[in-house]
Amino acid sequence: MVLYEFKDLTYYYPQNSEPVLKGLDLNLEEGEFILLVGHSGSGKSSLLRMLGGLIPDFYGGRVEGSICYRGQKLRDWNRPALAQEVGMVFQNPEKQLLFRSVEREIAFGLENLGIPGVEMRRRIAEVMDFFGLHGLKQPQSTIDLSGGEKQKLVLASVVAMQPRVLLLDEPTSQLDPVAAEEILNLVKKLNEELGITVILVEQRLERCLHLADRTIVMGKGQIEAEGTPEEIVAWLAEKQNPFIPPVAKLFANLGFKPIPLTVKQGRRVIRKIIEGNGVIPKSDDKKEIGHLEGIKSNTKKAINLQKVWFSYPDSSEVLRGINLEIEAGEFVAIMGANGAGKSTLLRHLTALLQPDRGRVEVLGHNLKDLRPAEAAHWVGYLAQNPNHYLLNDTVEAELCFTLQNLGIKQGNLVDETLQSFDLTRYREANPRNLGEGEKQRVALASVLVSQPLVLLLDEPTRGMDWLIKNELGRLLKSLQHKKITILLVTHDIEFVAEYADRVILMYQGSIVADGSKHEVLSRGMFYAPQLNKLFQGVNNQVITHEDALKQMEAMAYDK
Amino acid sequence: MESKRQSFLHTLHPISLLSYLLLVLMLTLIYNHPLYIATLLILIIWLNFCVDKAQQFLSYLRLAIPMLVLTIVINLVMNQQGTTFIVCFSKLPLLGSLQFSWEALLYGTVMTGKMIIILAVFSVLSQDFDPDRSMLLLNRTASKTALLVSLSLRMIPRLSQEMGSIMEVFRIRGLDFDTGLRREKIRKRFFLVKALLITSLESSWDTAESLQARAFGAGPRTRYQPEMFRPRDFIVCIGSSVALLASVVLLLGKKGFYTFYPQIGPLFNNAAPLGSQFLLILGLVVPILLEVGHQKWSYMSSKI
Repeated sequence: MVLYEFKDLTYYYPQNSEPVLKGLDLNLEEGEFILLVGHSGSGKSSLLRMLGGLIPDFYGGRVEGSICYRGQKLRDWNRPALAQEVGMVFQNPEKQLLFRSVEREIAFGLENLGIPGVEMRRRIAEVMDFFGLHGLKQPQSTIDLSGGEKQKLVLASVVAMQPRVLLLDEPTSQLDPVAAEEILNLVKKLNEELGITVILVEQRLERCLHLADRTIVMGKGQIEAEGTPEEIVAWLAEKQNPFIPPVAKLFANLGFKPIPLTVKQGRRVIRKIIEGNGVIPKSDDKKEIGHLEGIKSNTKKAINLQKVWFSYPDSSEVLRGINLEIEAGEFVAIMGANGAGKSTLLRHLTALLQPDRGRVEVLGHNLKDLRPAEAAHWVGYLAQNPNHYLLNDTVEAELCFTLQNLGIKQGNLVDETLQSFDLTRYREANPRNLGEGEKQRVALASVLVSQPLVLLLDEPTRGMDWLIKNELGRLLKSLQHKKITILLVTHDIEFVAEYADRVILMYQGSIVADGSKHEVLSRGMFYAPQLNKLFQGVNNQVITHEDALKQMEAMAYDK
Repeated sequence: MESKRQSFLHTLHPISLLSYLLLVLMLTLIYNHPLYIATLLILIIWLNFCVDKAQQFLSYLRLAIPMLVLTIVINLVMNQQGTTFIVCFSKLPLLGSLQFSWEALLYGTVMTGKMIIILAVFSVLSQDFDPDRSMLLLNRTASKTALLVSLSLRMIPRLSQEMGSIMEVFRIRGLDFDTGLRREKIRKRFFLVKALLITSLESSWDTAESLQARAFGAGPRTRYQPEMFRPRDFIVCIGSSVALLASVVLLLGKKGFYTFYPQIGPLFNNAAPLGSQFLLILGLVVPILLEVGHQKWSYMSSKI
């Protein structure tokens, strides 16, 4: 049964002459799990809001063409009826939660739909069971929940309304990998067990491509391709699109058909090759893969932590005797579960926090009793949310703001920084109006304009699409070429595997692994990139795309 | 490991708990007799200890001590209506003559006692009465206001977190909030306010979108009422009603008031009907006795 039917649908946001959706013709069937992909600004979130009736009701703007839901024009559906049919979950759970109590949160949507009290209680009990939320009940406040628990609660609140269609706009972009996987598994369960139609917008395809029945690729407001995940992967590979997940990218570049999508499928192919039943296609099918070499650092210490202990008031120890030396020009990634002490460690390096015990040195300066503003002369810090850096009216003013605060003469610094970050054309633009990639670049430029020699980044790739992420990776590598020491806190294993040189793994305030990325990532079970999992037992040292290609070549040679 | 039992007060219906605490507040504001205020003070502190809020209450008290001491001192210095002097100063520079009287000291102490009772009431309210539960009452009549209050209550800790993050970013970009002249400090704080305002505006858009997606304001609403009115609520309400009636009788007999000036009156001379006083205390002590019973005898709380 067709649920949504688009006919030549075009949409303009208010006061915009360029349409964000252009001439869409599309049918969406009941019970499907549809994955919507595309780079930032491709129109996928607008399409999702159109499906939920928020466009044009909430956003305004102009719609041309038609969109029908269950045979009736979407605009003719009244709001309560449509809200009961279609549920929406957005990116940031923090901004969707309204109450302090878990039960009240779930009840809110049901109250709005006019569901009677007895029925409401039954539905609340059911979703609490389904989502395993009983542990979060009173007296815990929703403010104290983790990101994953918050998003689970938002999902439960929407599912309690018993929608026929569930629209999810990057629901895992703000979550760590474990929580993200849990949310996606729940969504799949809702699709398979309850038959709810799922339309999911997601950037990290390695997490969800295999879950979908159909994938739609969007670009510039149009549908560029649609088909099964296998067909889409083949299309992405042909177009050399960066969205392609690592396992599929490897096999696609080697010319395999059909292209394996998951580690499990990929391992099956590799096992066949090893056993002599499979063939690696000829090398002329291969496509060139760009690779950035790690840089050998000199021996000067950029960061030196000696027996650092720290605890927040009213909490247990967050850092427990950390010893760490990082040489100038190294690119180091710190990984670990939430609460492992990663961000606290970064704050110590900016003098935002002072250790209870131990010594923190950056570029030979002891940070004891220094103010963050003083440490800022050597250390740049990019926090999770780039928007926190954007408060001036122009990009140029944003860079000048840092220099002014630090008492550094402007000279050519602003011009040079704008040029090196490819931001000269946005000099007079309001940074808040730029795209996500540009915002990130402006935030980074506003930190690096003072030319610090150590750069600290806290979860910089959260919520980024592959295109912007690759851009950031290359930018960081170019900074490393300029001998800037980079220390990055992240959950993004694939990004670390591709760009970092050294990896530190933290657990409960201690360093449990420290070594080159090949040493650390090749020995992990969870903290291992997809390609490493693919070659586990064959060659555990494989972590990057280039390693994987070499391994496949070696296997072909052996045969 | 055995988990700690939830307090009895937490299991009460918001109406019964609120009426009890409002009665205590009302009596505190009306009476000024030192013995009545002392009785109320003992009861409310006892309640705080019973519901395991002693630590919290003491932390509130610690914060309020400077203000409480100041109340007594200011009253002692400024109020010159008393006639029973503790000490007299006849030639003080600038101030001239100054007398500290027992009347002013007692009056200041009673006012301080009243403030401590108010603090103790809010200490009980703060954890045993979730703001969302209070909104359930408002939800019956003014759902939009209830939602607005709930959103605001949630927004405060969120804004505080947001402010912490923004301040960190500013500080590491060289903006030192603690240095410079006053004008410069104000200018720096202005940046913070601006950043918070922009962030809040963006967040409010997202919240509004989420409200729209969950059909808020789309039509007639129903109300989720998970709270049950149980026998324990009847007992507490009956206790509060008895205390209210007894206090009315006492007020009609002009009891509960005390003359501080020009000379302090006798504490026990103004004898009240013992029956009304007994009923007042009995009514107010009901939740405390039930709380003690709830902690000690699970059989009792299972029956009510």
